[in-house]
Amino acid sequence: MIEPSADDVDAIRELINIGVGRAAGMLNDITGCTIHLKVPSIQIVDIARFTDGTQNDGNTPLSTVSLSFRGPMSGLAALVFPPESAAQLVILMTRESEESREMDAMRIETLKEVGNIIINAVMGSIANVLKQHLNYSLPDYQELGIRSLAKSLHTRVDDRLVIANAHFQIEKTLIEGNILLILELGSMDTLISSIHGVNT
Amino acid sequence: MSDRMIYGHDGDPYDMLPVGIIVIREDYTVLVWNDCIAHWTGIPRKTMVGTNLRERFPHLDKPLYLTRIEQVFSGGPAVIFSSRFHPHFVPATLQNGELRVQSTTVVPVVSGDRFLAMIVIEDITDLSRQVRAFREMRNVAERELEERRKAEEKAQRLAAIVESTDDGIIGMNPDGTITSLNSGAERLYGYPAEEVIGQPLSILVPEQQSDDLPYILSRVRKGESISHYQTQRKTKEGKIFDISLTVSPIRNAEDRITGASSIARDITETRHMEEALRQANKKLSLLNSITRHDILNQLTGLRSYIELMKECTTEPKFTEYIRKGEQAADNIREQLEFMRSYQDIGVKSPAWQNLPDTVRTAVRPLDLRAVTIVIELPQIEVFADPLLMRVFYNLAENAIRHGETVRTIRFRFAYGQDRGILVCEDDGVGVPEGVKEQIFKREYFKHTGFGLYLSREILSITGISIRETGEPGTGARFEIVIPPVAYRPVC
Repeated sequence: MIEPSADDVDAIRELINIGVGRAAGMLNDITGCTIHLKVPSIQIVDIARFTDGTQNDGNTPLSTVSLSFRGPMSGLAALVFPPESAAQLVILMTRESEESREMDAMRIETLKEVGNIIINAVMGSIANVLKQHLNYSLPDYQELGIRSLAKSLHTRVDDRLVIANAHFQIEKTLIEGNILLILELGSMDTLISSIHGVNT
Repeated sequence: MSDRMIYGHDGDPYDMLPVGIIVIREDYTVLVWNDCIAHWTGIPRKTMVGTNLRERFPHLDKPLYLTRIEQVFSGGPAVIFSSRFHPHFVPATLQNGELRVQSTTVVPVVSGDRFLAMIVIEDITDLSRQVRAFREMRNVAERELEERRKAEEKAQRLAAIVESTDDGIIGMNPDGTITSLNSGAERLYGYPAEEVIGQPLSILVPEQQSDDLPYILSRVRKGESISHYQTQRKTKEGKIFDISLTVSPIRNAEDRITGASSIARDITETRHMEEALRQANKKLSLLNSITRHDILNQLTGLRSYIELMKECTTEPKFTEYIRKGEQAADNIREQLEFMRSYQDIGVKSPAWQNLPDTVRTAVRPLDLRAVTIVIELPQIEVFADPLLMRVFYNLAENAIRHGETVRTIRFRFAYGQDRGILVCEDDGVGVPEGVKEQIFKREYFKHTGFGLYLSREILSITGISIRETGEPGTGARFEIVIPPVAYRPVC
């Protein structure tokens, strides 16, 4: 198993940033809002050792739009928010006058599109580097903890988790979420090798 | 996937699905147009299969759609177009004329060595309607909860005030049955709550005040409030004490009177202080009277000596000095006269006085041969200094003396929102604009008999004010403004 170096981590962050940059442009066009989207930092951890001391312990339910992929690289990509932040994001993007912070069916459907745009853009960046085709599941919305999300993939203890902190700046409001990449055994190696291949 | 499944034919499995299915090639040529989408749009399969979707629906010919769908043709992940941002991906009208609300997913479908795009359109018109209705219901419920929370907070605050006050607060039915009382009332009357709840209020009323309970209850049943009504009540031990009572009707949501609240304040201490003040005033008045009497005696002597001096000299210089001395003595006499009038004010406690009767008595001594007095006053009582009658005398006497053309003097009463106004008006020459306030100054004493200055002083003892509001040339009009606590209907 290749342990990603600092340069590898930077390269993965850059790949994700290219994706979210494209996604922000699409979201601006669709919503008519001025949306800035960036990923200031990422961390890569073993799924078994995952603890995110800043937000939750991996069991707190989060609003999650996810997509699994299979092929030379297998795993799951997801956009996750605390439910209240997810509702706020939708309210800001849709300019709703509603003040309730509950995620109802219509807001879930809207968040699914937002998550779909971001995840597709990120996976598009990664697929460009891989130069190989991946098979994707349909996007899904769930409210569950990151551990449960990982469990649903039947992950193994040494699977890797890429946590990219995502900042959504909509008008004057900043909303924080995470873009997650759960990479099954060997997938991180494939990704790093592909990155090295691009760089040589 | 077989060609048969991809390309549109009658009997395709896609026709079994309750969603709109459109399969397009990379150049947007329609390959499948299932029954459901044909039914929604009213466009038959044979019209659509083989045509270009972007040409038929030009709104799809935008980068917003093209860029994302392009990912699907290259085998990328499915693309979601939510109803919030793309409610009518393929516009389809309902029978009521509204457009169906759509949620659309575009998924890649492998066909040989290429990818086709399958557009799956769900009709979520009902769902979006239900969510909107649910949100409205939730908003109403949240608003009601907020209002209830505020009302409960207010009720708790009020309950805390009611419990902490020393005033005795009693809740009662319109028939006078006690329904609740606060701890202030328990202390005031000496009864524990459980002993008096359900009992008639009359158990707290001494025999000599038995008339006022029917009066109070009749006012409450008419929806009227009673403010600062001074009466007496008795404790459980039979001790009678003075109270100031405020009674207000309680109404339910249908505005029906369901009871009354009675707030009683023990004024025994106030009464003691009033009595002490009365005694002090009495002594001051006596001292004033004796002093004035002594000065007058000395003044009489002084005037006698001045008269003698006048006979003793014709020297102009001395004659002038004697004249000035005589003037000074006259001034002293006038000031003593003012003192005599003023000493009576506030000596006796204010009392409730029948208004029309007081006015009638006040004007009786006047020479009314050339003037008619009209008294249009309701049967009310005014709480004022016992010299109130002299105020009315003064107003009428001034009108006759200074009004020049006065033929009628009218007394009438007007009920204001938060006060009563007694008007005394005449049809004389009126009060010139520049002196409307001056006439209430002490300097006007010698021109206006008893003096409007003293009238204002008399009235102010119980918070009553007086002002002149007439139009010069059409008559004088004095408005006596009485606060609600200082007048009441005659029982």
